[in-house]
Amino acid sequence: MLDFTNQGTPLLSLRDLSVRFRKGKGHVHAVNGVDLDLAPGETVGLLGESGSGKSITLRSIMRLLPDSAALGGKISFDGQDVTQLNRRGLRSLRGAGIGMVFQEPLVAMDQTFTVGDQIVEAIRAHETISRGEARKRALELLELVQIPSARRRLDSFPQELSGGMRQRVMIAVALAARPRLLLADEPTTALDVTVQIQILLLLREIQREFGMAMIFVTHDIGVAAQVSDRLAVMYGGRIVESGPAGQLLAAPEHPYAEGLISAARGHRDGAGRLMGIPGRPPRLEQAPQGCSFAPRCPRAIGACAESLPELVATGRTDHAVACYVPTSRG
Amino acid sequence: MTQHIRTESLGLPDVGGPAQPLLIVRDLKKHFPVRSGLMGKAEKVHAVDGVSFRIGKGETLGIVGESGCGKSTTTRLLLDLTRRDAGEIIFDGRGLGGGRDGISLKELRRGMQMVFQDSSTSLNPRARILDIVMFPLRAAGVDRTKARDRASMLLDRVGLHPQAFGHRFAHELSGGQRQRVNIARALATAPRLVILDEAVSALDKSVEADVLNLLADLKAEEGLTYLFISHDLGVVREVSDRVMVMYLGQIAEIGPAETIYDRPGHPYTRALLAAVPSLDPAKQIAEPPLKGDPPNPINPEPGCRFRARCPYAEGVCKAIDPAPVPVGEVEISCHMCNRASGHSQAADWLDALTKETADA
Repeated sequence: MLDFTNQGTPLLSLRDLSVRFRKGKGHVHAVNGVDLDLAPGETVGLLGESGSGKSITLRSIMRLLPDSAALGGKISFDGQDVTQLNRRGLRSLRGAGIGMVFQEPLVAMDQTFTVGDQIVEAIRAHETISRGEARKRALELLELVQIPSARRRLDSFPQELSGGMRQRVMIAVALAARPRLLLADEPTTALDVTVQIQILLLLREIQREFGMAMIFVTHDIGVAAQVSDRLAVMYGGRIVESGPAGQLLAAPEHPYAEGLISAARGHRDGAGRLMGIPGRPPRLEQAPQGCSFAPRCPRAIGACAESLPELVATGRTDHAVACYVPTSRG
Repeated sequence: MTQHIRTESLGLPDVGGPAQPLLIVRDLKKHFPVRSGLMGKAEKVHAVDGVSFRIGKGETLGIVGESGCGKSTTTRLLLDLTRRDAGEIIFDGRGLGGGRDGISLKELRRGMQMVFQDSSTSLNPRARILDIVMFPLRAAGVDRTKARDRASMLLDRVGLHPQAFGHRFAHELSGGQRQRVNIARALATAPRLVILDEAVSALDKSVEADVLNLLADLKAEEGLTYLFISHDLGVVREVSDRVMVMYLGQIAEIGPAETIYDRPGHPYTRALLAAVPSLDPAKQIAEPPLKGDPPNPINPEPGCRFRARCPYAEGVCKAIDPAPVPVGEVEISCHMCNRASGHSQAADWLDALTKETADA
């Protein structure tokens, strides 16, 4: 097995993670064998388009999947196997070990509680301290996430805040129990661009200050580049390429990563037409036999449809690709 | 030989000739009343507040700006989906509601059509694709057979084979295919101006390019004019000839896309562009260009709308609403772009801006 981190024991390690949902008489194979290691304090950008399995992968780490989901493979966090945790173990994992921020703070927060109460609850769920103490800490957290007039905001309700402020409160709630890993699921997608950058910089600052590891799920390559040390590109429920952010973006190896990056850069072909990726995303009704990208791939060979390419080292530092015809060998 | 979408019987004729802008908008205003607080103090959201612009024939005008800037309200006012409080709308030289030489709302809506962001609500889930595209034609009085033929032709033009797709339902299509149906439907009555309001925003990047290419083809082949609204500044740059930057119901800056993206003259445009994360991790943004969220345009005080967030704001910005001033081909509503405004940095700002232009 590959060790991407080269830094001893990873904080989080996913091995052959799979998630399958029951749907009608069949199944949706959302995640199909994801391997990922995350070092303490490291940020990985999990990049992919709709249906790539990036959010499901993230949610499975917290075991936040509906009952119709079948989880396979291994998830170890800080040495413990998350897949084996009981209700109590999960409760301490969520919050104390791992915090999470979502795209929609209003959905994630209880609108009948004030901002202060939400943070106090999050603190007291994992620590036995008095309400007064917890409230003091809540104020510190609001200051940490740079909310102006933080003291006054403790008594505000979520719906009274602007989008950017709500997102800051959700980050404060996620940080309440000092997690060692923060899972971020498109937390800036609904925000305006001038607000988005404030939140991205805030997350990066907090992550560095506390040595917290982070997995940041996004479809936006620019956003991923802004926050990530390493990128993992997902397609059809698998990681197809992983490597240091700068290196991967400058010279991707996987034809899908290559296509996605040129589309995002607005590259045009010789005829002046914008370059996209022809075809449509894979159907997930069946577990993939070969590479899910093969039907859309300009470089596909016979082997691509027959067997699944494993994620293997490319020779460049910490770089791996799951492709029989990666760019460097083409 | 592809069949053209414009026909004798459908669509409005070109009356003004090529030099006549297809659309002229003058001093458009919409103030929504809101009640806030327990006592219900009446306030007004100045959603669109004195917006004037023109779109040339065959041109694409992009509108960018953040939530609450009035970009979507502006498009709704153009189609009279929301009634404007004030302002003139002149389509191909004919004023809306402008008497004998004017244009009626019914005609205007045939001349101007809109494509919205793809969502589960934009297409009737119980109707077949062919019927969805036929509907505006039937509503315009086209008989069933002709409408069916034309709808098939339109589906073919947007890259959906009518035999393969005409009998499907919206949920059986991918996001990119659904957006093609939305485009075909908008083109049914042969409009001359198509308003694309976040029309590719819900699509994945890898699919977006195909839809943008389709829009470019249709524009070239049919001589269409586009008003393209998006929060994605990169996409707007790709498709627009000219760009209009809006902030709190007003135009901050309007001009050729290339000039505005390369040498933004308004401090807001500069901040907006500087906030877009680069695909190059070596060019990470170190400081947010603006603090806080965009404010609400409720009962705005006089003066420049941007001054509360502007690092260059001075007394004059608070006292006087900046009028648009031409700098080259761009019109900028900022006191720093007007030497006579009394802003202490006007000369330096303008010199730097014109020097950048000369260097380019």
